[in-house]
Amino acid sequence: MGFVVSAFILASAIMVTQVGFVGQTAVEGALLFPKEQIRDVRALVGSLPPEDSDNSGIREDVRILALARWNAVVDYRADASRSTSQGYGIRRVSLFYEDGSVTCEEVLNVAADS
Amino acid sequence: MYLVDERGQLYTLEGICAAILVLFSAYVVLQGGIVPASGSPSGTAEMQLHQIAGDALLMLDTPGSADEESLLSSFVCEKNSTGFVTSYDALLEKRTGATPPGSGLQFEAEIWYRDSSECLSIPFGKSGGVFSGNPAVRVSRFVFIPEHAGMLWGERSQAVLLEVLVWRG
Repeated sequence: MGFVVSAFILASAIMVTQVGFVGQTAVEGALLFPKEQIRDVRALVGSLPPEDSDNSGIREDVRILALARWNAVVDYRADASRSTSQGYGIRRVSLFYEDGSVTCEEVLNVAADS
Repeated sequence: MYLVDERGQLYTLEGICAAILVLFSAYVVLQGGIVPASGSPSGTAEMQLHQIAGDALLMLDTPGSADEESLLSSFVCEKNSTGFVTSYDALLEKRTGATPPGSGLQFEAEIWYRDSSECLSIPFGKSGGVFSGNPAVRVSRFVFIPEHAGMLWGERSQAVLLEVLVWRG
């Protein structure tokens, strides 16, 4: 009986030691996510004037600079603006970010002149 | 006479085995319980520095109103590195008043731009201090430059990357 109980205590002890590592992995994952870079590209694309929203030169700037300085593949595509039934303009922008460990893709609706 | 038999020996053996197992459990818990909570202390300090530097850059790139240009993009468009250094330094030095002024955050900025398929950079001002050997963090921000700005690297409208290296002096 005593042996069975002590074996159970050992199994519980091993489980308890693993709890800390689970938390650590989750926190590391959250900290290593390149949120600043993704927000930066989002801010840039969102602030582009309508006539430059689909400028291939700027797209190439972002692609080359992000690859050289962030070691990340970054691309975006901005559709032509269309007006909604409420009368304001809206533009659909797709972002892509990949740096080897994180892949992020998102679609934004950006306010634009109709 | 009645106490010394085979069964008594078995109980003793079980007790000893159980004791060893319990001791081993205690060892496992004490040894594995020491998990670094959030990296090393210097890693935490670097993270805080990264946050301060990034926030200051974000503040500089926030326009006062919707149809206004941000300070950062006007500095970059006009190539006003002195203005950038003064404003960025002022933001880094903002304090609640609880700490003495002059935290000694030093920085050096450069602008990266694209020339056909090449990536080139020009310096964009730095604070007075020299590099002290403390770990430095890098923050960056894309800046849009409209067509008419007449920059050295071409007349086209473009996006450049402002990179700032910040360290504790």
